[in-house]
Order: sequence, then C-alpha cells, then structure tokens
Amino acid sequence: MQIHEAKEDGVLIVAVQGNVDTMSAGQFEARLVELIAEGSHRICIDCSAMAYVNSAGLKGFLVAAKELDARDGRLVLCGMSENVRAIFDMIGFTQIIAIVPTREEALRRLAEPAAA
Amino acid sequence: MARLVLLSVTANLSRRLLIWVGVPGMLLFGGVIWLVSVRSFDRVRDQTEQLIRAMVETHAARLDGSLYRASKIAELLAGALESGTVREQQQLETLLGQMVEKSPEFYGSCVAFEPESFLPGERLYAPYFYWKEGKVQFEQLGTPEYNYFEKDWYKTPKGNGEALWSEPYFDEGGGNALMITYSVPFRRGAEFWGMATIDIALSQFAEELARIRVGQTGYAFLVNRTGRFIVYPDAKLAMQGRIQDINPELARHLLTTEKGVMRTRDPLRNEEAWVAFAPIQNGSLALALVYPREEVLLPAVRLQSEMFVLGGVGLLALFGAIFIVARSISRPIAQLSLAAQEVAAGNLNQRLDIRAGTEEVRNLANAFRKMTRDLKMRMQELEYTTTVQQRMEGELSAARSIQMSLLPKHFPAFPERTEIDLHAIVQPARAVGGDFYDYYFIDADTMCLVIADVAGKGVAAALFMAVTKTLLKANSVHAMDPAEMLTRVNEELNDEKTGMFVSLLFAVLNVRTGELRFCNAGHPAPFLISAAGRRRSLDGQSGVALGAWRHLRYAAQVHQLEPGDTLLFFTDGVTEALNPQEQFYSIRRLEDLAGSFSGRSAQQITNAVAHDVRRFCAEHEQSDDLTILAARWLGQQPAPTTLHNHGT
Repeated sequence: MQIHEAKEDGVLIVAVQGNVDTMSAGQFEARLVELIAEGSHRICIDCSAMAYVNSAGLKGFLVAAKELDARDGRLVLCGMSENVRAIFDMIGFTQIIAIVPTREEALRRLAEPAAA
Repeated sequence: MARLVLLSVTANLSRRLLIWVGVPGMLLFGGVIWLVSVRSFDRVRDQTEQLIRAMVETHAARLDGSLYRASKIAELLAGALESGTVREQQQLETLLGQMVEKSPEFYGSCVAFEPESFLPGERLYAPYFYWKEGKVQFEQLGTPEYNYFEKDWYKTPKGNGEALWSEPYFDEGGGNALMITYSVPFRRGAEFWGMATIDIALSQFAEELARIRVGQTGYAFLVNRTGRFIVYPDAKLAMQGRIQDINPELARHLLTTEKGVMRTRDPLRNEEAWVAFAPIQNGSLALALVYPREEVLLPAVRLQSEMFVLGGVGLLALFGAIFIVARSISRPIAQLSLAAQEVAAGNLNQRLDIRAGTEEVRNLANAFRKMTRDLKMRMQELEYTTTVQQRMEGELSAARSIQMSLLPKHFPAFPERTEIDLHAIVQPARAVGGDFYDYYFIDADTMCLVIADVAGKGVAAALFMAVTKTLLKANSVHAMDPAEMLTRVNEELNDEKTGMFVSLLFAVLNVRTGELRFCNAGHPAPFLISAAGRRRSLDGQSGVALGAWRHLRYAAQVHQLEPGDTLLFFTDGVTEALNPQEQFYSIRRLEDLAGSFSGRSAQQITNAVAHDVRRFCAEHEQSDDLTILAARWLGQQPAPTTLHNHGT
C-alpha cells in the first residue's frame, strides 16, 4: 500500500494505492490520525487506485471519519471501484461516510459550506 | 624433478613467491657466479702465462749471461795462446789464476795441452785453478792418475774441433765436484794444441735456481740439450733422469731453441701445471719454470668460493625475506578465513586480533571486523524483533483462546429439539481473531442465532467480541424486536471511542411456527435454502456495523420458513477466501454449492462449505477467520413419547 498526499484549495487529498488489508491497515490509520491531528479537517480520500479493503482497513476509514466528526471536519471518499464500494456497502459505511464517484465532485462537496 | 613437484602442488602464497621470485633469484645468482668465475679464471690464466713467461725469460737471460761470460773466459784463454801472447808457463799460470780469482761465480778454469807441446819434456800439462773454501787453489791436473786425454771435456771437443759445453759429470780427481765444462780447442798453426776450459759447478746452478720463486709450490729446473736434468728438485733424478722419459710432450718443446709457455703435466707431481721455458746458450741448456695449476687458480678458486658463500648467504636472506613477507601476508588471511568460518558457525563474539603488515590485508581485516560487528548488531535486532513477534504471537494465541472459549462447541446443539438441526464451524486464521457465533433459547420456542465479525485482531478484538456477546445476552429481553435490540447494543458499544466495530447478524427463530426475524448490521446476507434446493439471499435492508457510529436506527426483516428450510450464515472469511491466483471464493460460488444442500444435515452442509473453501484455496494461506453456521428448521414434529411422558 502507498499513500500519496496533496493539498488543493485547503482540502487534503489522500490517494490510496494497493491493498488496505491486515498488513497495511495500521499504517494507513496512523497516518490519517496524524494528518487530522496536524490540522487537516477537510479530507478527500481518493480510492481509485485502491484494489481491496478488508475489515481492518475499514476501521482506518471509520476512525478518520470519527476523528473528523469530533472536530467538525469532513471526509469524502471518491473513485471507488465497484468491488470496494460493495464492501463499504455491506458493512454499512456508505450510510455514515460520504462517497462520491469522482474527485472533482468530492472537492465540490468539501468546498460547500457545512451541510445541514 | 623437485621443481616439477613444487609446481604441481597447489601453491600457497609463500610457495608461489619462492617459485616465482626465489628460483629466478637463485638462477640469477648462479649465472653471475658462473660468469664471474669464468672471467676470473681466464684472467688468472692470462696473468700467470704473462708472469712466468717474463720470469723464465729474465732468469734464462741471467744464466745465459753467466754462461756467456764463462765461455768468453775460455775463448780468451784460447785466443791468448793461439795468438802467441802467452808463451811461458809462469805467464799462463798467472793469467789463469787471475781470471779465476776475478770470477768467483765459476768453479774453476783449466788449460790442457797436447803431450809435450807446451812444456818440453812434460807429457801432461794442465794447470787448473779453482775455488775451494773461499780461496783460489792451484792444481796440476796432468798427473798419471788423471789422464785428461780420456776425459769427455777434452776428448769430445777435440774430436769435433769446436767449442762446446759438456754433459754434467763428476770430476773425479779434478775439480771433485759435479759440474759442466765449456771447452774451447786452440791450435798452434794448423795443429790441435790444447783445450781451454772453464767449469761451472752444478751446485751453483742449483743455488741460482733455488732463488727463483715461482709462487709457493712452483719451481725451476734446468736440462741440457740431451734432455738430462742438470738441476731438478728431485735429487734422485738430477744428472740421472731425462725429461723425455717423464714428459715427452714437454720435452718436444723444451729441446728446441724456442721459448714459450704451455699447459702440461708437472714432471715432478704429475699434475696440471703451466710450464714456461727458454733456451740458454743456443739450446745447450733449457730453463723451465713450473707453476702448478692448483696454485695458479687458487685466487680464482678462492674468489669463486667466496662468491658461493656470499651468494648462498644472499639467497638464504632472499628466501628468508620471501618467507617472512609471505607469512606476514598469508597468516592474517589464514586467520581471517578461520574467523570467517567461526562467524559462519555463528560465533560472533570472537575477538579478531590480527596484526597485518600490509595495508590491503589490514583493510580487509578492518572490513571483516566491521562486518562481524554489523552482523552482530543485526542478529541482536533480529533477536529483539523475534522476541517482540513471539510476544505478539503469544498475545494472538491468548486472543484466540478467549475467542474460542466464548463459542459454544457442543454438537448436536440441542439434542432434545427435533425441530431444529444446527451446526457451526469456525476456522481461525493465524493472525486474525474476530469471528464469533452464538445460539441460545430465550424461551421454549424462541431461539436466537448470532454470527458476527469483529474488525481488527488480537486481544482487543477478542475482548470486543466478549463485550458484544455479553451485551447481546444482556439485551435478550428485547430479542423479539431485533432492530430495537441492535439499536440499543450499538449505543452501548459506542460508549467507548475505540474505533472498533462488529458486523453482525442477529436472528430470532420461532421453532414452533417457523417465523424468522432478523436484523443485519453490516454483515453478509445469509442464504435461505429450501428443502427442494432453492436458494435465496436474504439481502434486505442492512444497517451499519455495530459500534461504528452512534444514533443509528436498525431495521429488521421477517420471513416465514417452510419445514426443511436451511439458514446458512457465514462471515466474509468464506466469500473472500483467496486462491493462489488471488481470486475470491465469492458469494456466487457459495450459492452454486448450496444447490446441492437439499436433504443434507446441518453438519454435512457446514462441512461441505469448509471443504469446498479449502479445496478452492489450495495452498494459499487462510488470511481471515472463517465461520459457517447452518440451521435447518424441520417444522413441528410429533413429539417423541419420552418427551411427552416427561411433560405429563
């Protein structure tokens, strides 16, 4: 797994590449927590290069979502493949984390004033 | 042969150095010694030849001069008589005496006359002056006892009519000494008148020759024209032996009137020698100097042996230096290779005490030392991580035993219940523990079924699982409304901000009516398989995994089972099992397999699924827990008599 970070209009874009599984989930979660602690409160995680995520990896996403929620921040995921989307669907995370098809849409969402 | 053996042996460093430096050095030394000796021998030979040639010429000239003077005295006497200058006895004897007195180097001189030719009436007249005990003596040789007419010194020149040197002889009754005599005949008118002679004692030649020093062992000898030894170191041969009997080759050269130098046998010792020779008095005598080869070559031989010693010492030093250098290089290397073997055997604590003379080897030793040190560090790191890993594995196995101890594992689960046939299998993965299942009756007709998958692993996951199970049990009063129940459990699980969550299916089956209520919190939908083999995924509304997010509402589904229907619950460990090609087992494959489940017992079904997954995965390591729970509702059966009896 590799993580590429970029800033765009005050939004931190985290592009994930490879598998977020038992082996890499710890690193993934720790990095996200670190980035949030450093002050990134609007985060877009680009999952277009993410091949697979298991429950350990999902925990990383959940922790990020919780941390941002606690700080009035926002998290939007984008670019998911159908397989990955199905996993998020099954665990029910599509009901608690915003997931959009493209990065542009994600950035637009994050640019909006805080949703009601 | 020795060289070949040396070369054929697999050469170590010192042997190679000896062969490629030592042997050429030896050859070079040998060559130099050979060349220098040859040159020095040549030089010594040339010098010797020059030396003895000069010596023999000098000494021959001196002897020649002496003999010449002697012959002149005799000729003078003869001339004085022939010219008539001397006529009287008194006059002659005075002249003769004076001449002898003036020539101490000669033995004596005599004038001998034919019978009655000088003194009338005297048949024999031969006045003779000679040296004896440092004084000149006179003697009348013409006595009846000494008939000089018969003596060789008189008879032979008289016969030849010319002057000549005699053979050496002992002048018995005359000079009484070993001598040679030069006789000059003189005439009165045309008639032979007498003989003027001069004697030279051989002892005088012997003295003269004895003074000639030819090195330490060389010597001089003198022969006359017939080859007879006049003076010779071997007294037995003097006057007796002849040179041609001893060394004919030398005699051939010696008895000519030539001078020269030749290499031949030493007549005295019969060894190699240089002999220089020169004629005296036109070959009347010949002087020879003998210089033994052994002594001639002594300086060269000495030089040669000195060079051998020097070369030997030099070679020894060279070999020693080679040996020391080779050892100073090869010993540390040998020590290093020994140390490397030690390291290979695992001994990293050895102290490498290598003193290398050469910089390259020193660098090697330092690099080796650093390598060993680094290796040791790595080993310690590895040991540490291994310990950590062991601790983690210990933790995992603890988690696994917690997990396993929470699972009901006694089958048949409810032997007294004919309505329900239930079986479950859990196969924990090596690294992950988080699956669990549960089943229990909350009243006579109502059975709860739980299957769940805690995200995460280790002790935390196992504990979270225990908490979940406990909370489920604690909220059993709400079991008839699974949605309400999960909503409550979710709130309680969200009390702690652990980030942990559990996907879970909670089902309530009325074993009497077959009514099934269940609520799905983020879990894979179960299959409902009819007795005829129809499969249906109960993938109705599904909620968020428990513990993930608070303030969520869950919804339940209600289904009516037919007798023989089987509920198949499973975790994603089944559908996401990987084969060596990294493909998922998939829900589709499970659904296909379920087609063969009609009429099978719950245990047969769980085993069939587990078996098929194992076959699919082949050698690929199981990466996640795998849990299968099958519950077959057989419908209301006639109560067995025993139970009936018991009921009454």
